Amino acid sequence: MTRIQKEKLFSKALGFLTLFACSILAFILFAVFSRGFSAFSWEFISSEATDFGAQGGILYQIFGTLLLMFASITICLPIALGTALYQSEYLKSSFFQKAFKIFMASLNGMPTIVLGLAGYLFFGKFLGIGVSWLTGALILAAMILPTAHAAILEAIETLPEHYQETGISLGLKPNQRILAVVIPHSVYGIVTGALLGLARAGGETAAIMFTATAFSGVSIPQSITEPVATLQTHILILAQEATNPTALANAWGAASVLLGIVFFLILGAKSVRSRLSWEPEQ
Amino acid sequence: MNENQFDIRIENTSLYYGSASVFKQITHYFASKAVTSVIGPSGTGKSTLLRTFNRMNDRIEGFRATGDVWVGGQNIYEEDIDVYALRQSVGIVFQKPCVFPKSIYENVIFGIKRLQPERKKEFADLTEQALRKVSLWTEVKDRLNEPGLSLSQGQQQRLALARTLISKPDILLMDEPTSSLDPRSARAIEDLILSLKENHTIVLVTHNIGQAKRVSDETIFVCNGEICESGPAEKLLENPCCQETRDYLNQGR
Ligand SMILES: Nc1ncnc2c1ncn2[C@@H]1O[C@H](COP(=O)(O)OP(=O)(O)OP(=O)(O)O)[C@@H](O)[C@H]1O
Ligand SMILES: [Mg+2]
Repeated sequence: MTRIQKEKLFSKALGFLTLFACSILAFILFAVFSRGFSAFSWEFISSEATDFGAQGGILYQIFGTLLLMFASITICLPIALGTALYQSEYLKSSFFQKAFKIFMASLNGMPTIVLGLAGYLFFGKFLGIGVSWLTGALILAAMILPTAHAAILEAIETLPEHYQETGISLGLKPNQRILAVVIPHSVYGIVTGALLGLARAGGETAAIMFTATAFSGVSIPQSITEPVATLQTHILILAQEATNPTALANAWGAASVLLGIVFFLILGAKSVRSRLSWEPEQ
Repeated sequence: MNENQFDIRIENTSLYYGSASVFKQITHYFASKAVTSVIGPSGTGKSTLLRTFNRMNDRIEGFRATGDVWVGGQNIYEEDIDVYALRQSVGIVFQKPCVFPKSIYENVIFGIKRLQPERKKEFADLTEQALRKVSLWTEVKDRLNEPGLSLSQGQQQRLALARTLISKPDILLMDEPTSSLDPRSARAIEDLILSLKENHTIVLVTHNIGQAKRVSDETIFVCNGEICESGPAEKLLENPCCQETRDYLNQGR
């Protein structure tokens, strides 16, 4: 085999692997949307579930998922921004820099069920919030912290040094420089981090299953100690009723809606990212 | 302010990155309200020296300065120095024009907007003054709200200078301010330097010997970690005493 042939084969093989990776996504989308389609209607997303979810819609499940997503990102974002800024702007020692990176990586690799149980022990039991949407939001906030933190840190670290130097040379104190230079130029990272975090929180099941959700009999929570219903847990429960065709159809329908929400956020992250990136430099 | 506000004096100053020394025990009094050009081979520490005068090197891990560095009447590496105030009275302009992705106006007031918010009412006037000083006013007065990055490189460098001048520094440091500009814009900056020296002490790092001749009153030649030679620009550049200086100047011919 000649060198050129070898190269061709190599690039073909890589192309095939790429195609395979893409087809996984295509298959999932097709499998979910084609089955969910029959259940999907305005009725379905605007009415509440009855008969343990086997009948009716998923209104409160959508509400619960969105509530957990947005509550968790609201809790997470200031922490992610603060830690990223502290790490990049104040933390001088390379030992602590490294230690903090390891900390974030461990948090990121933590199995979500473990995070859920530990979070429940602390927020649910120790702080006494119990099984509630707030407990779930706090656990999810911890879960998506590394994602949001990494996106923000990346934006800060790719900030061109001459912007920082100009800020310093004008006599700005570190806090003024952060407000004037670092944050404005990291907006796209903050937005990306927020959307990726939201998407992760929206897809999470294990961490909230026993800590934040109830399967039936819940609507809009009246206090911070009440649980919610979510799409994720709804799908899980319905999927176990393999014998009931309406329940199964509803599960696929709920899955389609969940996938739609998550997909929407990821696409949003992409478009916001390209729109907010800086004007090109000469 | 005290009467030394225009002074820069270094006495027995050594500068280090970690254990590597860039300058050893150098002493020099920079001429007040005059232009001193700093020339020398690449990598000899001209930028390092310049950035010592407003403590821009603080950010670099391992950087150390020993000896005395007097700037504006203060020994600036002493502990109780207000380094932020120091940087406002010692402006610096870099090689590559640095313009933020904001409007021309926002770029000019970038520093004072945060540092002197109480003077907000004066910003428009101060902006005009600063832009006039750098001869940019007539070119941009009708488009202050357009992006700063829409200006040419030469205009961007003058914009950067205006942003520095608006807080009325007494000392101006310039690190190869024209090396990324076309010859005409470079000349415009040179003319500016000449007009600014009346009220500022200017230290200019340059690789352009012609430029050093045109704008500077004094010149220092640095190499091998020391100031090999210093003196009136014309004499040093036409008729250097030290062999290294001669070699360096001859390279360009
Ligand atoms: N951040 C740094 N850390 C360690 N060493 C550095 C750092 N910056 C510069 N140096 C070293 O210090 C020496 C002087 O660098 P400097 O940039 O001051 O030279 P220069 O005279 O301005 O050169 P040029 O004419 O190319 O701009 C060089 O040998 C360089 O490698
Ligand atoms: Mg240099």
